Amino acid sequence: MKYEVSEILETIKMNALENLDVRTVTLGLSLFDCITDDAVKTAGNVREKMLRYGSDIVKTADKVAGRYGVKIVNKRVSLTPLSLVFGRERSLEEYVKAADIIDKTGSEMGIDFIGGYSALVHKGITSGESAFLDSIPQVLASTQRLCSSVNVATTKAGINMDAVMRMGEIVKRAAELTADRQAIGCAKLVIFANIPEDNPFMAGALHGPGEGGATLNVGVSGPGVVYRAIKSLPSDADFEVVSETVKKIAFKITRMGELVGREVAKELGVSFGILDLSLAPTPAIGDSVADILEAMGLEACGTHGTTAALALLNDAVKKGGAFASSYVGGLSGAFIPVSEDTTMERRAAEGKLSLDKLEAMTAVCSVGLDMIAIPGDTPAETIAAIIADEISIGVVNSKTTAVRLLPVPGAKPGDEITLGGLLGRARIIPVHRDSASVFVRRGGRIPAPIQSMKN
Amino acid sequence: MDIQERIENNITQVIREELADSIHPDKLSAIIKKITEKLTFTVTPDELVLLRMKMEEKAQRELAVVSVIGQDSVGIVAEVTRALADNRANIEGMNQAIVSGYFALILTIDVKDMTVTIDELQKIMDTIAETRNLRIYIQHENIFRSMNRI
Repeated sequence: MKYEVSEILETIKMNALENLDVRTVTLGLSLFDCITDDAVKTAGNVREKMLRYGSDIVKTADKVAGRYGVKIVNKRVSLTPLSLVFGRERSLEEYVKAADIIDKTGSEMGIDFIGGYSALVHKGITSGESAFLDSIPQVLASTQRLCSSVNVATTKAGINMDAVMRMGEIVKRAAELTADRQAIGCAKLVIFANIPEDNPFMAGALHGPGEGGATLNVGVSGPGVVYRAIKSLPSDADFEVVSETVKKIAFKITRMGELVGREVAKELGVSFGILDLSLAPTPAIGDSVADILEAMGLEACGTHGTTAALALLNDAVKKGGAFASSYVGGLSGAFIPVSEDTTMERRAAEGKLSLDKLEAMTAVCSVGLDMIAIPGDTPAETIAAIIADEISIGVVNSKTTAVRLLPVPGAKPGDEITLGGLLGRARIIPVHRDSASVFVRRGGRIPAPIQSMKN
Repeated sequence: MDIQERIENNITQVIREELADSIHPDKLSAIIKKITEKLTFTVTPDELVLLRMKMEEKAQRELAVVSVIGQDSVGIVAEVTRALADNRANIEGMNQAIVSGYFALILTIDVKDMTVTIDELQKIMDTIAETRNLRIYIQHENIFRSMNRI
């Protein structure tokens, strides 16, 4: 036989029992050829383009999934940042109407999310972008699938603190407008430093201006597989063994993702872009990044040692994956979205995993403070300060960081919210009460760090 | 065995398979002699290499792996292989193992001439799996190649 029985059974075990899946195939579409002077008409062109390239994406992904016995959980579309596509300043009604057309197209195609209600304002905000930013809360409240991301800093440009303060207010407003739905609007809004142009994961996916016409990007997942491999090691296995184990698993996961992604791209007739090497947890039992950290020997994720364990995990995943894929891109690192990771959510609810520890963890992994529910009365200035802290970690370390917070109106520390599906549930965790208002309201731009001067 | 003998043996074998005893042995050897002579004078070595490449291309298989896992019961192999035969999936290899008390039958099949697609075959297998309380997975071999071979 060409393959060992053990190899075949291992693959089946990973797919059937350990939640290994292709988390997303995301079709990136450039919209520069859709631009007209009328935003609503432009959205009509976007709709036409989405249908032209992506109307078969669900069928095709399911067909390829069937061929390999692998699940492809999500099929998505990412778009050129719509602030660039809409250009000049528009009225709120125009933005909402255009967004609605795009959102409905997604539902027609049967995809679960569309990324790209986005703006790149890391150095300055144009008048068109300013009006666009103001429309975000209303658009997120009135659409189902459309996700928004805003890049407020890069290592090269520094941090646009005006944009950071605006985003503090926008997050608050998005929460208020979806107060009846547990602030779901905020789950579709991410604030970035060093945003990647080819990330397939939501809510931060967009099709960067440097990308080609139509590209398929793939995100794989497999915390469950890594967890079981670590769990099966003896508790005194040294770090070389732990790291090698993760590397080998990451290699296999990545190869599977690349195979499936290339095939879907080929069938759709678009180019294959990148493979995102991320360990993305889901609320499913045994599909948790926190479980991996605890399997390494921590009593609870969040205790001392958590950052080191996560750093080791993240590094080994990249080393194994980099060899397995020709084009690695996107976010590529372990995710720590609190509400989407059952064990992480539990540790946060128990008070063992604090916001401060989560921030420290983001220095060594992707992406950032993700899916964290905070008290509804948190002031916009405090949210802006949390964003500034997280973004500065990304800027100084030349990496992507991001913030996705849910200040759930009316909710207090300890309250529980349920978001459903992949978004999971969350207990409200406390934030510091001392004000940073004077700091975040200074305005202007924090200069690019010395690390940016590499030329 | 020299080349002439090899060609003659091969032709004899093919003709015997097709015509069995209906052909007179003398007639057979006359035909073989003629074919060998013809071949010698009409085919160049280069052409033979080309022919060989073409035939290999044609004979290329597309493999998939069928894994049957669950409690052992009478007739599993028969039922699964019958379904494969019905859909013209040729069995290229078979392996049986008992993994932690469970029965595992692994078949490598050629899906090139199959009358249904892999996911249709999966649906057929799903009905067998359901009645017998088993799990049957069909996966194109590329996934094993990509995950286990560099």
